Amino acid sequence: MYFRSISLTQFRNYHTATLDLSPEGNIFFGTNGQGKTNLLEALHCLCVGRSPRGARDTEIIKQGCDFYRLSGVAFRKSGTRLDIELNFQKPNRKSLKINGQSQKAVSEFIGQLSVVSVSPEDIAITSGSPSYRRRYLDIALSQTHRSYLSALQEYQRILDQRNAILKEIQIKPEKRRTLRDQLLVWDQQFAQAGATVIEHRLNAVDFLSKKAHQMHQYVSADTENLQCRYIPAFSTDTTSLADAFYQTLRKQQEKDEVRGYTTLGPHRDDLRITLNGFDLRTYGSQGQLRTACISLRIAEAEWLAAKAQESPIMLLDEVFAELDLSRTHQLMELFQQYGQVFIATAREADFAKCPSSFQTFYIDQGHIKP
Amino acid sequence: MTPSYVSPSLNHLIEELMSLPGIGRKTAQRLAFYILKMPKERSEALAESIINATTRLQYCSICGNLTEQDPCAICSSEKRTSTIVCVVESPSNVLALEKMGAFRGKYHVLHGVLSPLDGVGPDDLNVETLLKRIPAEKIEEIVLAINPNVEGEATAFYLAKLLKPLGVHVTRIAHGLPAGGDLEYADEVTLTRAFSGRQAL
Ligand SMILES: [Zn+2]
Repeated sequence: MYFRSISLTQFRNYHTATLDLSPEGNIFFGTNGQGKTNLLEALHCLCVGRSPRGARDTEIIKQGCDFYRLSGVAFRKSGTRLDIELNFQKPNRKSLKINGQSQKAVSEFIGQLSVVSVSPEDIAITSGSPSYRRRYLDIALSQTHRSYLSALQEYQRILDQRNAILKEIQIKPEKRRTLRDQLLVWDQQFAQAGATVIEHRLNAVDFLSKKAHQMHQYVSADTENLQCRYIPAFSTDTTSLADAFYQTLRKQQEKDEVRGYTTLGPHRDDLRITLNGFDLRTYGSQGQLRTACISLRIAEAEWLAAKAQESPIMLLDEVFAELDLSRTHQLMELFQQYGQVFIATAREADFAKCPSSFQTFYIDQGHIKP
Repeated sequence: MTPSYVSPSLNHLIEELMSLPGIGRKTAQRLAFYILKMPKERSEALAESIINATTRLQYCSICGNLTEQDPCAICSSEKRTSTIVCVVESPSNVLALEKMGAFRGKYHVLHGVLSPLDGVGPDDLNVETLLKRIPAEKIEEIVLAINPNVEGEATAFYLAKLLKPLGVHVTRIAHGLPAGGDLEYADEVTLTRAFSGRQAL
C-alpha cells in the first residue's frame, strides 16, 4: 500500500497543505520545529485513525480553529484506489470515510493500512518501564489481528470492573464475603480474554525475537546477540492458559484485596530483552539501547509485511540523528525494502544517496516546497 | 452561544430538546423549527403524547416492563406460554423482541446489568421478583437475552449460577448476535436465528 497524495487542513501548524508523494520514498527536510514530525503524525493518523504517541484530537487542531481534516489518496497492492478522509470537530465529533463511505468505528478500520513509526522516543522501549514494551507489542498485534484488539479491549474493560470491586473490598472489609462472590462473576471471562492476549503475544514475540536477532546480528557485524522473551506471570506448563490464569487469580486474591487492584496479569507482563545474555535495560550502553530499538522496529516491519494484508508504510522521524553517515545509509536501505518510506531529517547528507525516485520536500514554518 | 434576539420560549424549547440523548444544538434547532411549523393540532398531540406516556406508564409488578395497567398485557395474556421466560436488560429490548414476533413466552426486565464501575451490583437488578416467579408460574426455562458485551456476560454468568439450583433450565441466546452488539440494532432475521440457536448455560 502506498499514498499518492495527502492533504492537511488545520492540522498542527499547517493551515492547509497538499503533498503529491512518491510511491517509493519521501523526505521531509527542515530544521527542528518547522513541522516535519507533524506530517508523519498526519500519515499515522490516516493509517490507524489516531496519533502515534497518544495525543488527543483536541491537541492536534491548529490553534484557534475548531476542526481538522486529513485526506489521502492511497493505492493497494492490487491497484485499488482508496480515498481516506478523517475529520475531527470540537469537542468530540470524529468521522472516518473510506471511498465516501462512513466507517462505523475507527477501530473497524485498523489493520487495513499498516504502519511502523520509528522515532527518537522509541528509546523508551529498551530503557523505559514495561508499559512501553507492552505497547510495542500491542501496536504490532492490533494491526494484524482484529481478535487481539477486541480481546485487549475486553480485557481492559473487565480489569476496570474487577478493580472497582477490589477497591470496594479495600474500603469496606465488612462486605468482603458478598463482594468476593461478585469477583467470581467476572473472573472466567477475565481469564479467557487475558489468555487470548497472552497467547497472541507469545506467538508474536516468537516471530519478533527471531527477526530482531537476525537484524541486530547484521547491524552489529555479528558481535551482539539480541534476544526477547515474553514471560507470563504464571506457569503455563500443565493446564490451558485460561485455567492457569484463573487459578493464579484465586491464589493472588488476598493480595489483590489488600492492594485494591489486580496485581497480576497481561496488563503487568513484560517483554524481557537481553544482549549477549545480559539484561539490556540494566547493562546496555546508550548506543546499544538505540540500535536494539531499530532492530525491534525492523522486526515489527517484518511482522506486518508477513501478517498484514498490505505492506507497511514506514515513518522515520530523526532516526539517524545520532548515527554516522555510513550506518545511516545502511539502515535507510534496509527500511526501504518494506514499503513506502517517509523520512524526516534535518541533515541534508542523510539523503544524499537516496534513489532518484525519492521526492524531497522542504519544510519551513508550516509551508512546504517540493 | 445563543444570540440575544432569540425569543426566550424558542430558546427554552431548544434547550429542552438538547437535554435528550444524542441531540446536539444543531439538531435541537432543526427539531424546534420543525415543531413550530407543524399544524397546531399536531404539536399539541406531540406534547400530549409525552404527558400521557409519562403519567400513565408504570412498571409491571410481575415482569418490570413498562405498562399502562398492572400487570401488563403480556403477563396477563392467556395466549403466552408462561413456562418460558425471556430475561432482558431494559423495556426497549422487549419492544425489539416483540417486533420480531417469534417469541411466545413471557418476559422479565432486569433494569440494568452488573457494572461495579457504575456502582451497579446484584441488589440493584430486578432479580428478587424473578426468583419468586419461578415457583409461582411454574417456569421451566429461562432464556437470557442480554447484550453480548463484558457486562452482559458477567450478568448472565451471575444469573445462571443463581437460577440453576432452582431447577430451571437456563439458556442464552448468543448465536448470530454480533460480539459487542446490541439487541436493539440486530435485525429480525438475526434475532429469530439467535432464538432458535440458544444454548444451555
Ligand atoms: Zn408484566
